[in-house]
Amino acid sequence: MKKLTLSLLCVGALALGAVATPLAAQAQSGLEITIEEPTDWQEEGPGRRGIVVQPRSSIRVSGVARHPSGISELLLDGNRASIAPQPDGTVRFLGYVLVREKMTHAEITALTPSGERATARYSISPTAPPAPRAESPEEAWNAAGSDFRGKRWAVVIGISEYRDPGVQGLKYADRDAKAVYDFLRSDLAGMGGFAPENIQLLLNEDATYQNMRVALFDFLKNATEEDVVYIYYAGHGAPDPDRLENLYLLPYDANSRQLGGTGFPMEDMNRALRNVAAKHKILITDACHSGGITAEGTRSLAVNRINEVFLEQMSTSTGVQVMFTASASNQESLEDEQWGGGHGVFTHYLLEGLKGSADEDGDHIVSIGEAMDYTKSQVTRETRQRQVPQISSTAYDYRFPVALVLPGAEVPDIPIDEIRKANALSNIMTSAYESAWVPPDSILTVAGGTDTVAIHLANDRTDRLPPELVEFSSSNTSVVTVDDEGVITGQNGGLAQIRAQGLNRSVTVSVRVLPRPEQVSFSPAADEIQLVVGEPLKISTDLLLEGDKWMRGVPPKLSAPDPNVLRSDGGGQFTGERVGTTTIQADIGGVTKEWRVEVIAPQVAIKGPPMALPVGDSLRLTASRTRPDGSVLGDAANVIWRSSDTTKAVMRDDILHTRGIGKVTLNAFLGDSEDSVTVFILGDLLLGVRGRMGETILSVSMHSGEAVPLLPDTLKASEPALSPDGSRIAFVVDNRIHIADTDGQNVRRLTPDMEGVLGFRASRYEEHTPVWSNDGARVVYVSNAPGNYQILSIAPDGGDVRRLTESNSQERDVATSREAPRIAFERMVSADDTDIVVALSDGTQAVQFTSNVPAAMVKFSEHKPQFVIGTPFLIFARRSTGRDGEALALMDISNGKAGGELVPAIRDHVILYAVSPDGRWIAYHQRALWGRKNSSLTLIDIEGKPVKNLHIGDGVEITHVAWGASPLISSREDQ
Amino acid sequence: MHRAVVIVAVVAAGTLTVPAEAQFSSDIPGVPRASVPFRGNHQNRTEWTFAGYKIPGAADVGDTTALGVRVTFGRSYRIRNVFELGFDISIIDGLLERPPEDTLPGAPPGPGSYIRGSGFYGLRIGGKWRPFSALDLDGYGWEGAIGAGVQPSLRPLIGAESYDDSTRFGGQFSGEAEPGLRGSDPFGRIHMATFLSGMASYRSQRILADVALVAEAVRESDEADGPSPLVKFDGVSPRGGVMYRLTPSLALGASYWGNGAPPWRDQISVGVPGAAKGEHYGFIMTLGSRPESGTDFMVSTPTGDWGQSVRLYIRGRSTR
Repeated sequence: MKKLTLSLLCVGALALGAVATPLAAQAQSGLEITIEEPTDWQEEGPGRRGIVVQPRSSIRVSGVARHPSGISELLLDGNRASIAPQPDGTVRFLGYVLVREKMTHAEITALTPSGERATARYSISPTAPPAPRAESPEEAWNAAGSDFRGKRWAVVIGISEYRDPGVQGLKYADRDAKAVYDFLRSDLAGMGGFAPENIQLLLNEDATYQNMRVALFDFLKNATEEDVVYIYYAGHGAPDPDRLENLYLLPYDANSRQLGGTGFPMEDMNRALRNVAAKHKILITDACHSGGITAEGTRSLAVNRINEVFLEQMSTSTGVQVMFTASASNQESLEDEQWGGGHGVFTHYLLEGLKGSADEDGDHIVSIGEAMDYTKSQVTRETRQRQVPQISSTAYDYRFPVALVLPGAEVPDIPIDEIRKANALSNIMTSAYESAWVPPDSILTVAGGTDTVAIHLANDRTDRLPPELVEFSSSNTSVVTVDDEGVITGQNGGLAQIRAQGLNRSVTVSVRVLPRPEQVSFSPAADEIQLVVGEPLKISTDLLLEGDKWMRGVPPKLSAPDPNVLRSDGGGQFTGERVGTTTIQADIGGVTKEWRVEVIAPQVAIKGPPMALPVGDSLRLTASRTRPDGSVLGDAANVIWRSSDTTKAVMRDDILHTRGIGKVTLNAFLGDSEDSVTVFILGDLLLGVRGRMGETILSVSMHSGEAVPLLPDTLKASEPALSPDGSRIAFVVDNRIHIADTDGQNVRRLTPDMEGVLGFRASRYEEHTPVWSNDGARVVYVSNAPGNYQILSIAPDGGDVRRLTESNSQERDVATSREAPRIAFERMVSADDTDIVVALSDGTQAVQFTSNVPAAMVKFSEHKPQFVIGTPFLIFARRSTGRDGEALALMDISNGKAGGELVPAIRDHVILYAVSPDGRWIAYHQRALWGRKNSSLTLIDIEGKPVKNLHIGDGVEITHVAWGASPLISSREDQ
Repeated sequence: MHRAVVIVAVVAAGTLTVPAEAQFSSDIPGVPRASVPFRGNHQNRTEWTFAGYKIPGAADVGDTTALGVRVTFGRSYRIRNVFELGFDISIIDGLLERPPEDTLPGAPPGPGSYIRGSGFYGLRIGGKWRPFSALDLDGYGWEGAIGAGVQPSLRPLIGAESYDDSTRFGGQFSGEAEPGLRGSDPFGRIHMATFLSGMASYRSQRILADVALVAEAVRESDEADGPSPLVKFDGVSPRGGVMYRLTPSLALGASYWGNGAPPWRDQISVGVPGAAKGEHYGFIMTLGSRPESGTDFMVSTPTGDWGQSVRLYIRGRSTR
């Protein structure tokens, strides 16, 4: 059965021994060549000397070439040589010439930048093929590879199944790779087969992008210059649909629609091979299954241009010496059950050849050249030239041995689990050489108790060093003994050293053995534990030793719980890793305990932002991981945010950007957990205004000038005040204090009807100026229900009305501090004199302030105090007798001294103002008592410097100014 | 139950004060106000009243001319926020009257100029309860009050009278009063008067209005106790006044007290025919921008004929 295309690339190289004595030659075409190696090799001509070499070998050729027009490329009998331009206009070159049967000469061709070709010919006299030189295959191998003293490394990748349903699977790519792996591990691969720690097999789901990178970049990094590296890849390859020169191998987890981000670029393959120090690098790649990710019915040969591109790219790579492809660029690869019970035809014959069929010269050695020739001829014949494997045009050593002929020897089928262990071991072994060994700081155990000396590597995975690599010894076996696996057993109380030695290094661990305890108490005491992912768990014991002495916090010997559920951090510390259930057994001195640990998903809880946010500002939001009972475990990472109304607020990179005035619900998602919070986007200011629509409250942005009614149109409200948490707003409707959610919903009257003397009330009363206490637990306001206007407070639920002042004067314009339980208000001491009173929020400890100077001609009255957070200052409206109007001034309430004016007075105008919660800004409106009203607002900083003016609108009369949402990250006016 | 107790208490207090009641604080001359001071705790009142007469005589008799001046002082105290107690007293009251120079042919020469004066007399005390109010943060709104007062029957502290070349002095400590030359005796005991009043006030930034219903009981001046400067009035008089503030410093308005006692209710009047007729109203101009304070200028005509008489009433009031 024919299957999808499969092409195989194979690149090989061989360095031959150098000879001496250069010889110069002058070609008629102007090409001058001086050959330095082999020595005594002269250009053809009368009396010139050729060289005698064995067929099916290669000649390493180096020298200097010159051409009047310059040299851009140099070919040694068709094979590209490496060139290095010299300052004198010549180029130094190095390359190989393959010696074929009956070959009489080799050509050295120079290409000029203009495309001109100049050729020189050199005589070759092949000798007869060598006879078997050894009695046994091992001797033959040793003889053939006498120059080879390194190790052999291999990465074998086969992918038939892909996670992405959009990638069509293959039938036998994984079987091909597994067969190649088994062969390399067998004796047939020579030298007893590849050491298991030197070969990695990645099949299907193991061949992820990450694992491929680790294998190619990290694992192969261990190869030295003397080593040889094999890479075999069978699976899909695909070009970028838009740029065919961008070629990708498809890992198991590749996404066909995001090839650029999930495919394995061939450029990375080149880079990996360049990083490999080994001189001998062989790449066998079957990556010609691009039809698998193209649209249905497009498995045309045109798509298989990947072969061509791949071959071209790898041919120009400086990291590969030989490569072998399964088919030509215009051919399909075939696979069927008829070949080896289910293989690609290419791999089938490649393995057949390696197992001895390719040993054409009968020397018991299968060289790379023989293997490729055999495979090519057999595949070509078997497929009747429908599939012709391609050998790269790079120079390589034809005779480089790749297999040993051992009649009767079988290739074992190595179990996958064993292979995976070998893969892991190879990774650890790789790290064991280059990573530091990290022993435990010390071990504490009890007599009769056991523990294990686990030595970890200082690599990314903190792998544990296999015990077989080290030898353990105890400095005092009467205290503690240790076996080959590193398991120690406490014998008697005392101190001892455990030494671990191997790979030419050693580490030492101190072991303290406690006497056998009389009583053991485990912590936690409960048998069942519930943890949240990411939550730590510490297991320890308290030991009662001789003499009624308790030793607490002793870590017992612990079993390894399921690492997918619980991560061990060492020292009895664990962390919930994933949702699941596992068990932990503890043993100390033979006393055991078992815990059943259930790891559950964390809940996410948004760390409460202010309920009211200013429009046009930004705020970083954070969320916490919490237990189901709400206890906080820490900050949550990778939280996904969502805004219910992106016209009002958007989330970008955990930062909330407010765009419009209104109500927004923000959702935070962490796994399956979700939390939400409702915030209100407000303007900087809340204005009470009177206009054609009657009285209402506007939320106004000083930044944009946007003004939005905050309450329903039917509600004639004034004197707004925002709660400290921004969730509610207090205001006045029909001379009564009301309260509502900040979005204007849930409007309700706050204060109850106030009874008069003896339960009888003849007078009508009014309530005004609601403000919130600093903790938001009270609403403070003024009311003349007691007769005069006095200061009262009430709980936000409408209960517990308290009268804060009991004076015989009118008291108005109460304000509260944002940072302390204090209030300030004005008290009328006479018809034209008003002082400021500062008191605690319960009305006690009242102190009266005036800015009047004794015996001064001009008398002032003080009105409308407001606190400035973080300072001892009050801002107040200062009014002189007569019609001079009100000015804004500062007063230091620590000494009662009044400062200069922030805003000068205007005749017959009073001032309405608000100080921002952060104490940096003042917004004010100067309201005419007589005549035409205006609706101008001015923003100044706390030093009185004007910042901005705003006009609310014609026909609108401002009756109250209050601050809305406080600026957050920074003031936009600063920017 | 509570309301019943309160009502009974109010009635009892009113009964006890009858025939008490006297002067109440006012913003509009002649009209007691219901309001109590909003910002301060007391109101000061100082009144200057100037009156001029030129009253024609009979056919061949010349005009009678007269000039009067009166100075009073008063103060009202706010107690808590619904009560007010006050007093007023006339400090000086003087009158110069010149009879017609021309007499009928053959008749004996007429009398000469007549001068009289009283000091510290006419004390009035009263109290007010303002059970109803509806005031905003600036003190603007409605108020309603009831009040009662009394003017004790006391002689002036001092008095003097001169007619031609005859002069005599007297007063509180000068024994029994002697018959005066005119209907009002500077030494005479002022008959006790009682007052009851219901008052209502309205205040806004531009409008100041008061109405009152005053029940007075003033006995005749020629009763057994001797002459009294008070004009007899025994009845109920509706009163009202309004001021409109044209500018922050200027208000205009008018006051009507009808048949009730005028602001200068105890001023010695000129005992000439028609003199007591028709002085029921006045026109007011108030200067000043301070709240609950100002200088009031009111003009009226004592005889109801602007051509015969004009009275200028000046009052300074302030709230402290």
